[in-house]
Amino acid sequence: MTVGTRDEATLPSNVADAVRDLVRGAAHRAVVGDWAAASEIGTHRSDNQDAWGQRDGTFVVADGMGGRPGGATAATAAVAAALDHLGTDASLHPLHWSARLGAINEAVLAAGERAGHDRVGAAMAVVCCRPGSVAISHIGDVRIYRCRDGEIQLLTRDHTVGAEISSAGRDPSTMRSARGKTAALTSFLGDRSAWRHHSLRVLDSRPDDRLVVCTDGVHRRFDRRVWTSAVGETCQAFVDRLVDQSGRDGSTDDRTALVIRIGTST
Amino acid sequence: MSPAAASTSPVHALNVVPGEGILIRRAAALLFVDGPAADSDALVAAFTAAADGDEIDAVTDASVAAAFEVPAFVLLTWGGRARLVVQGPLEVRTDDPALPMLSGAGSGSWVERRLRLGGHPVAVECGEGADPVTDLVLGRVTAGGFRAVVGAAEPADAPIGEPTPSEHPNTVTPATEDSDTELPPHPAPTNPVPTGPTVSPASADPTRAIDRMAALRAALGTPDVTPPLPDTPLPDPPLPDPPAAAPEVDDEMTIAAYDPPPADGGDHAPFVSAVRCPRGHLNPPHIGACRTCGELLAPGDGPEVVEQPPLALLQLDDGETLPIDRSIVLGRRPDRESAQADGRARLVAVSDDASVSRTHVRIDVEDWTLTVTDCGSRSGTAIVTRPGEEPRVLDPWVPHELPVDARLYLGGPSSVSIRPLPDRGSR
Repeated sequence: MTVGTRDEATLPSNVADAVRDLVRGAAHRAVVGDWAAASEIGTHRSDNQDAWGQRDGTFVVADGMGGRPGGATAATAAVAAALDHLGTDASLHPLHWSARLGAINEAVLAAGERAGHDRVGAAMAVVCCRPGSVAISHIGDVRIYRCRDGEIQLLTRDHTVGAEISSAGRDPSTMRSARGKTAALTSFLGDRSAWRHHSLRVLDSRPDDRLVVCTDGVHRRFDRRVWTSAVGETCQAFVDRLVDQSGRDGSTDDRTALVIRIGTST
Repeated sequence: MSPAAASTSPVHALNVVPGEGILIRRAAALLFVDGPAADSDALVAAFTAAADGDEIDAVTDASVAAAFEVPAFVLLTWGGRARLVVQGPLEVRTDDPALPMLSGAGSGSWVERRLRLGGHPVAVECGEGADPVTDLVLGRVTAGGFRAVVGAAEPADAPIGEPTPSEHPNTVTPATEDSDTELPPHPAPTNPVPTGPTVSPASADPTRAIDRMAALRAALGTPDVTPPLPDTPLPDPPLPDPPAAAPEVDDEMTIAAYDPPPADGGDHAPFVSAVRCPRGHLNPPHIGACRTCGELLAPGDGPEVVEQPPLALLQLDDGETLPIDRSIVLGRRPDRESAQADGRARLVAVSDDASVSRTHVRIDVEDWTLTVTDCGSRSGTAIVTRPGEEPRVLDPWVPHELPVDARLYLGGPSSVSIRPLPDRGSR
């Protein structure tokens, strides 16, 4: 199906050619310089319900919902399906992206049924590194941070009750009815409709950026001093430090962190 | 009914729209719930049991307790500062120029704004066809909406303006559990919540820009799909229908006419988490030093919820600037519907150059990040984020991060720049 533009008053031009004449400079493209991941089972778990994976520049971290049976099944299925559907050739058009997330959701549901679970769920975050651009997407509370020039920036907003209340301008800690529920997910994989609330954004990536994808077992014990002191280390040392330190700081949940260092090619 | 309440209330009239929902008026607040009575119990109980002045806290508490799985509702209070709260895909219109429309569509929770009641009445309307002979003074009636005129002076006869072009409501996703928490099961409604014949579909959430896909998907007519198989070819990205003509919108913004938002800003901004430096400057969470003054931030400083501050300035080729604290739609004759923008978005006409489409690009504020989305323009949009960098053509309809100091080329030589705020260095 091809839908033509209706703005007949616009004269088509080649914006790339037109602009290239105005700004002359060397191109540089973002590529994966290095990456590493670490994952530790929580202290009260019988299995690690976090999962991660990567293939050809696509990186995925998923966190199975412990409140539902089959959290590990859901997380593993989400990662496998995401790697299948969100490769570097996947269109970033929101409709296409949403349809592919729907297919991932179906895969999570199917995995849960095969394992005999009637309710499964997982949060997930994805980083797609492709020539010249890095796209991120998330559902739930797996977060993506960017470390650049000593500054750490959270790039995602959790899909949780607490975040929803905050976005409405209220401090969730002041709401009696929200106690014990602020971390509950408002969007996740493993439900017929709840997955539809998701994000997608192409980043302005720069060489030596570090993108950190981590589950709540890590980011709930976020310590800026630890992150800033470790960010300059190798990717493996960095994620090992994040996972170890969050455990020492009292996290009992499964803890997973994946870091990607952006390199350069010209 | 209480004549005493009527005589002291600044509500001049509360007309009822016929329907199957519930409308309740107290001394200084009203609640409209769009759904059958059985589904409205929690909200109605909270509203009626609340102490005077606590209606908003009580009703929003009830929404949270139900994991946001409550019928769509509108709550209007006028004791002290007048406030308007909307949850769900209802469209509430007012003739307050600062708040032409408010909807909870697209938000998982509710949205809340203040109404200005300075010397003239403000009409607040949900649904259409309010019966002018009705006037609810106190108590509860079945209704499909309402029209209230609030204010100290005599009500004006002027009708509320045409609604903002509507978008499909986003799905309000149910809150469930996280890895550590299981919410108690919430009973599904025994009857589907009807969409009252007088309640319009709502526009996209005015407070959130992070997830435009649902609104876009719905607005473009994509069915509530079972996703296609991986190998199934997807249709070409559709383009939005063009406007028949650029609509006349009251708050359409041009640079020349730009009027900075009032200092209190209370009715305009969504909310974000922020940390405040010792000098009071707002910063994103997790950073170590203030972006404005460089003052170190203590690691223990917890974030607070604040109204969205401007993140940068938009500068046009002629040098005019305006702060970016909400969505901005750029084009020759931009309109919100074509841009899939929310009702609060500013419209900025940038150029008569024929390579610029009527509605060309949309700039959004997402927490502490700016993004830019090409709105399916005919000639495309290119971005140069740093001097000497090769221009990059944006993928249509895909949000791209928009850093400070970037320049956007709209179809060709016409361009706009993103500049740092006056007291802030480049980030």
